[in-house]
Amino acid sequence: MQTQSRWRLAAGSSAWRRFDDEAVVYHDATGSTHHLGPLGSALLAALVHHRTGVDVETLLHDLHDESTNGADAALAVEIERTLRELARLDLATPEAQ
Amino acid sequence: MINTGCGALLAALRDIDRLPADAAGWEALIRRAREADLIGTLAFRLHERGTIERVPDGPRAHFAAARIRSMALETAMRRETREIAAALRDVDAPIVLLKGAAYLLAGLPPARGRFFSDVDILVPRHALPNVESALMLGGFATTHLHPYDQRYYRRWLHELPPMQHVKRLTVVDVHHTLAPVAGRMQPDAVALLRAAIPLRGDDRYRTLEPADMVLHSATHLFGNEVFTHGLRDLVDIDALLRHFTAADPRFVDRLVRRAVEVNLERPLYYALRWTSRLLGTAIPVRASMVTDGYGPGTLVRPLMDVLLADGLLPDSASRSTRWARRALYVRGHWLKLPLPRLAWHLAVKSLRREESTA
Amino acid sequence: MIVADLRPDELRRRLARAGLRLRIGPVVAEIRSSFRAVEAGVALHYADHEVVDEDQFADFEVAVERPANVRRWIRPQAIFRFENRPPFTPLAANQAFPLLEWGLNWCVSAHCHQYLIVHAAVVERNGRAIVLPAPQGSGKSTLCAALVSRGFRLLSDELALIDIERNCIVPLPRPISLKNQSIATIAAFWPEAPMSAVVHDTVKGSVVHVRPPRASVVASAERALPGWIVLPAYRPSHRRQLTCVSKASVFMQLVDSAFNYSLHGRRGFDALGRLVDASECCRFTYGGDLDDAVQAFNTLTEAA
Repeated sequence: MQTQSRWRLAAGSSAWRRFDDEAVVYHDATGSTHHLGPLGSALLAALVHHRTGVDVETLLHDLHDESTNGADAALAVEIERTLRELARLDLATPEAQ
Repeated sequence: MINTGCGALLAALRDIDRLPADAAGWEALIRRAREADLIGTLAFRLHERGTIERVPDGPRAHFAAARIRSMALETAMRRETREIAAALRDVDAPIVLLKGAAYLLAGLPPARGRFFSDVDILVPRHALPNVESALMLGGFATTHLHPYDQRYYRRWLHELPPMQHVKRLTVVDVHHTLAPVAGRMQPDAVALLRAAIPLRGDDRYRTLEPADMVLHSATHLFGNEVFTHGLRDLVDIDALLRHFTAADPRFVDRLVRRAVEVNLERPLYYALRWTSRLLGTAIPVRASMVTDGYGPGTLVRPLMDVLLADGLLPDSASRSTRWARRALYVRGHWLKLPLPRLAWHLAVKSLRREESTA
Repeated sequence: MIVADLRPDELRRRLARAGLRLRIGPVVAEIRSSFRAVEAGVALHYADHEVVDEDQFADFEVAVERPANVRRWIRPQAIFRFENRPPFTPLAANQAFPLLEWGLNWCVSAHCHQYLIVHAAVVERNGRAIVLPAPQGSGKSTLCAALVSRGFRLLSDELALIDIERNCIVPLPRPISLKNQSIATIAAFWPEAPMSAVVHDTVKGSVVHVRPPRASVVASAERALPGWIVLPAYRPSHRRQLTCVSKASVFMQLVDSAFNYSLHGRRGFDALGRLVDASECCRFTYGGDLDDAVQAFNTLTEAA
């Protein structure tokens, strides 16, 4: 498991709209529409914010909640899994090392 | 002789500024245009000329809806050609786009406002197995699973059975020539493939060279069994002729010479005759004098004139149109298959129809 | 002039020959049929709809007729034609009126792409729309009929027409169709409901239609602004419950329920987003006590 991997918003435009802590995304290239849960939405927002790419460590820090101290490892796993899911939807791309 | 219900449609196709004067006229125009699959084309032309401003609210909504549909189909078609290019990236053979996909990617007039559907491609015969497997790997599955249909398409027609993508549900038709292998018209497919030109800005696809594009459209229309798109195909030919002639005033002469080179004189005769009769395409007299010689014999000619006058136009349930269509359907099949085969094929087709309604 | 103003022989003549032109919300349909059942259905359900002159533009030309083959007489059928082409296979002749209704649904959903069209019932209160998107069998038509019987204006029982530019919903008031169990339920709840005779053995089971209230038809030019999106769920013998539901999942439900979402592309995405943004979204579970259900909707919409 590569926790040092870097990720970036995928090329190609998409539109998204947040509803509370979730989001829906429209992907121009494929015309498909997706529903992102809280973690997916937060990650997408973070990827948009970190235009030139971001590593999982930074994402972990961005999403870190004081009350979940000690659950970093679990959150990191979730982040990786969700990033791969976003990649499957053509919304995120891992950067080659 | 010409189906008068289509008067408004033909007038608008000849000149988009000639609009109906009353509700009945607009109804005739919109209904026939919808039937002929040309309402998107008219909507585009109305917007391009600004004439849409003069269209009353009722009819205008139909053109707005058609425009939304044609724009969505254009986006889908572009997407689909990208996907197919990706699926075929490792196939070592030229891939020539035909018809709608070609018009769109080459930026040609018949693409404007078109309701795109299948992607048609032409490949060398030897590349068929590789193309078929590459498409299957790309998620396309063959249709027409009845073994008779499979044989019909592969052995006797000029294409693989249509392949449909399992998720996107889009369809690609793979051809290796432009008329059936065993039919009475034997175009020179090798010459057509050889003359195909690369698309600007796209290294995967080619298109037919302009004269061949017109000849293909003519062959598709006048060698086909299904005439439901007759007028739409004629509108394509007219648009191509105007476009290529504007760039090269001697285009039609080249077209006539090319028809001889690739054995497609008869379809060209019909194409020039009927675009000028129905759509007012300006064909130089010197060209039509030559192509008149490519027409059918003196006995058949008037019969074909009658059949096509009705058969090319949208159906509108006119009895004469249905009769004309049926007669043309037989002619279409006759062109495709040698006679003994034809009888067998029609028998199987009608048996199968009975099976499915039992 | 409305359909009720036509003498019966005049109604029959128009349906049989020149075509009866009706205004239904934003569209005008020219209808032809020689079936008595269609004539009766139109006379009942479209009584308050405006009859349009021959010299006004008709959007759709439809007909419900007998086929030209032996099924004209033997196990007789009815066939729907749109501009002289039949988009569906024929049905048994006793289903002639439902066939007209299903055919009109198809005309609108397959052609009116100037709107974003969602499969949903829509009613209105105080100028604001209550959209009830739901797959078949979730009880939306039953709920819709119940609400309409108690003063909510009917915009549509099947097709929500969304005007993308103006972010509002366009009325298309037509008969409410009820199936199977909901027929008895509504008959009990609303005894005076103007209901047609039951047509049995259709592909959807037993079907009736209920005439839209006159007030709904008269107001068919008044669009409704977004108000509420309510996902109905019929659960027998459950207490009724209005629960919160994530707007994102309501959005996705609308995408799934839309007929022509893919035609609109990003514009459709934005339009649904604006609609969901501007609406209160909830799930409504109910167990068959329609009085209670209507009360819940009254409370919901009064709080606005």
